[in-house]
Amino acid sequence: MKLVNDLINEIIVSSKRILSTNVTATKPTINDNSDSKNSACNRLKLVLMHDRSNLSPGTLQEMKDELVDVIARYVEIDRDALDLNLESEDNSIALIANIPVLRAK
Amino acid sequence: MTGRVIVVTSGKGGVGKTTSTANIGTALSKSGAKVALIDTDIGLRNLDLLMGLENRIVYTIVDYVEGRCKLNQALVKDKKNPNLVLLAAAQTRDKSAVTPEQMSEICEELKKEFDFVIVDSPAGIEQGFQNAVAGASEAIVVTTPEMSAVRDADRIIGLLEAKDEIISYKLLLNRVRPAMVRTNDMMGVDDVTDILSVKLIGVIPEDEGIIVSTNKGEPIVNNTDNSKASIAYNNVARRIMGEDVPLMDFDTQQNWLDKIKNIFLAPANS
Repeated sequence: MKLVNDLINEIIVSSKRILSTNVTATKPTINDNSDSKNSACNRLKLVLMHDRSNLSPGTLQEMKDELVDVIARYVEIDRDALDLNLESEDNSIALIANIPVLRAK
Repeated sequence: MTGRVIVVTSGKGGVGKTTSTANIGTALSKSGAKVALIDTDIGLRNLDLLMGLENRIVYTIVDYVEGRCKLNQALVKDKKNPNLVLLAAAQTRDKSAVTPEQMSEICEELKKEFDFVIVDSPAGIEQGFQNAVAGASEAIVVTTPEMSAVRDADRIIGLLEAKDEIISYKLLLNRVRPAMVRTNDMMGVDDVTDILSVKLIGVIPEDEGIIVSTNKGEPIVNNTDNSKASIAYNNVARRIMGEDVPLMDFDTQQNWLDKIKNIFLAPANS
């Protein structure tokens, strides 16, 4: 497990982003017509985080793939259930990853 | 005397920069301050129309920087208020006709004579915006509670933050529809200020009177009927001058007919 952490840290340093693992990944609900304000707020927050961080969804996906490859070398993970998002906490932007581990290799 | 130079900007077009410039400038001058308005939207000027001064423009900002006139020759006096002047943009040129250095020099010059220099910025983040911001130390970022306007405002705030000359910037939330905010179909004041994490200078409700006043070439703050937008713009001017004015409560804003109705209906409702 220590090795995994070290590797993750290495990626973070190279990408100069903050990483923390979190189980509660909030997804914006965009289907609720009755409350369009909330969907506007959620979509805006997300798009502004991308704008502010200069990190495009494409780059994020690339990073996600690389991150998964590294972790998959040590533990078996559910690639489809993996969730990696930018979230704002106070004045900083955090990279939140939710990576379900199936079993250790 | 050293006046304050305030740029009114937004990123997105059509959110009410020019309307806000005209009304804030007029409101400030009505309180006795000497105010100069500068239209920096070269090629797409409109501040002259909103002020009703389109027939009085002889020289523009480009005429001044190219040496065809003196600065005070290019300042057009307002129809009603002698404390208020407009430096119009040229309509037949483009944004490259004026440099940021020339803009700074104009603002420096006007600061000596006026309490407030309000600069109306063009939409966008290119040269026109850079020119408009060049001589300013304060900024008012205009946005509406729409996603695209808020996103563009965020971009502008990022650019303003990177400028050392800009000491402070505040948000003007324009065209708010209280009824839609109530039904959760429009972002409210708190939603927008939370997302942008910026301080407010004012909130202007959507008001059909703005269209009428634009048609007439008369800023709405000159109207005596005290419409909501007029009160809101006057409040912005008072806040700029340092007064602590609470935000208007749109929910309780009623016309006189509703008030009378309420007096009669109150016992029945309770």
